[in-house]
Amino acid sequence: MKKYLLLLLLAVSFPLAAFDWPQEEITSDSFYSYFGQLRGGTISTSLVFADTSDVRAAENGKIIAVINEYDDDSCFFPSSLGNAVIVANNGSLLTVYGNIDGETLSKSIYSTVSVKNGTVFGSSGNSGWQQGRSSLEFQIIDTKNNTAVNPRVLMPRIGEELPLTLTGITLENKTGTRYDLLIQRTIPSGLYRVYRLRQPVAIPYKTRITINGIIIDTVTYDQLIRDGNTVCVAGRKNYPKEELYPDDRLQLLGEVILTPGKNTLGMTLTDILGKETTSAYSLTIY
Amino acid sequence: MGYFTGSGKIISLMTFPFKATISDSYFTSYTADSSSVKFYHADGSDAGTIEESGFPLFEENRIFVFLPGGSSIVQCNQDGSKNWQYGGTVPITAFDSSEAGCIVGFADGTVREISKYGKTLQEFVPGGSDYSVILGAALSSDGQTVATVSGQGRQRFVLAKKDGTHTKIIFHEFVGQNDPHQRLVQFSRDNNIIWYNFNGGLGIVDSNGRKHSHIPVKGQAISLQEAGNMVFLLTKQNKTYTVYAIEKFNTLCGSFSFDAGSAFIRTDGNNLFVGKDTTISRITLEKK
Repeated sequence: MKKYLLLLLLAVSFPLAAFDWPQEEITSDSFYSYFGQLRGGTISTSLVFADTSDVRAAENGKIIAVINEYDDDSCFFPSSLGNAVIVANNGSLLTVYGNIDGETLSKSIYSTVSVKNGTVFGSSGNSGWQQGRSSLEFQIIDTKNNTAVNPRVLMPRIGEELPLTLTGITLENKTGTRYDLLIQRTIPSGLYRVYRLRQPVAIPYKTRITINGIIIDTVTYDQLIRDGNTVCVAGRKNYPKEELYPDDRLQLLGEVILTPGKNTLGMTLTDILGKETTSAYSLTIY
Repeated sequence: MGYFTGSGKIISLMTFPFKATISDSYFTSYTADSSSVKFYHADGSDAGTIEESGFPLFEENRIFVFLPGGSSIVQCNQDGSKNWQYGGTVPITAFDSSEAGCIVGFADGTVREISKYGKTLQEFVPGGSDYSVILGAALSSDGQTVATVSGQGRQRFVLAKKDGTHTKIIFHEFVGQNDPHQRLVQFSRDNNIIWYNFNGGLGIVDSNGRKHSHIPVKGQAISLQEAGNMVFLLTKQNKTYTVYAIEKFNTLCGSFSFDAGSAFIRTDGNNLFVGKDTTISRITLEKK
């Protein structure tokens, strides 16, 4: 029954779709940058592959736009996606294939309306903003809900996930005072953000905070939403980049209100396969 | 990249390894992983540093940065510090700015006008097509009028004016079926005429939408320059560039083509400058 409930919940969250690989298959632990990571000062809406490869349609659809990098002094803006193909798939989803090499960009895409799963657009290159990798930047956009969907939710997965770690647990109160739980476990009551040391590549699919076993906050990376003029992840509230990644070191796990007395603060990281990494601290709150 | 005088004297000439942006006010070059960029006044003096990751763009004295991911944008102050930021989840497919602010078009067919202070002034979907996507957008200098080319399957041009809190479409026409190219859309300096490129043609419409016309052109329009009563359009098709000379409102006076690796056009008074790879030519305009 639980399995059926989970499937139903996923169906409600996303339009039913399954995408193929947009380039050569790679194992789950070998992407260059994962959806939701801190990338160039923003919460990344992209899944960035690690190696140069042919870029191909992950699903049947219609090409609706080709963004180009322009060598000429032109009227166009410099997209950080570089050369990119945008495909409308069934329902309300768009797939975005960025950082394609201009020389390899197939001329036929300008006159092609419908593309089949596997149609090659070109090879990944260095036309977009990237950090030393000539590799595909892949996105899935849900235009109905105005969200960026974690591509890994809809793509095949091969092999193990990168291991997740719960280190450097730090609490930060509303005034910005930080408490390192390795050295301080008696702290004043109040509202706190709970942080861990961010891993440079690996990122959880979900983070959960509990107090005395009761779930207080769950932050999920299945999709990113726009709240006003800001991209956010959803938890008990929407968290923008400034709260999710206050600096290059820390990543938010959730928010919690600590009340006087003994409290057990629990933290759980869950990867996309459901594997959990947990830790707990016994705190004295005054 | 660099600057030259009307008499053909090269004032400055700089090479760049990856990409560059230049306007009458500023210039800079940047790398693929650009995260901190020093930029300079046209005379070469330091103007400031942009501390944002992404690709910068100078339009006259306005400074923008397109952030990693392709869906977010920052406008900077004159020293490069952040003025405002728009963070989105849908890729930006069209952009233009004027003294009033900027217009941003998205892959989901939404158009958003943002003031120079970062406030969203209007947001609408031109629609009317099977698949909404904004392929070209322009904003009048007073920020009151927006023009777009959008959609696949019944692609169309839309001219819309702000009407209180609403956006009122004052002119539209269907300009083709399917074509995924980004498209030039541009207002004249006096805002009285709007030019828009579509597959095989240049559309011309007056700001009231009462008068409109088409001129056939080859390739993708990449630059349009005004010189008095004349308009020059540069198009590109593979390696062939074509310059079209048009007398306002819609009289095609002539055109010439050349093959090149890169090209540009500029106007100054009665002069048209045509850049072709390593040469710049001046054509002085005279009506007889």
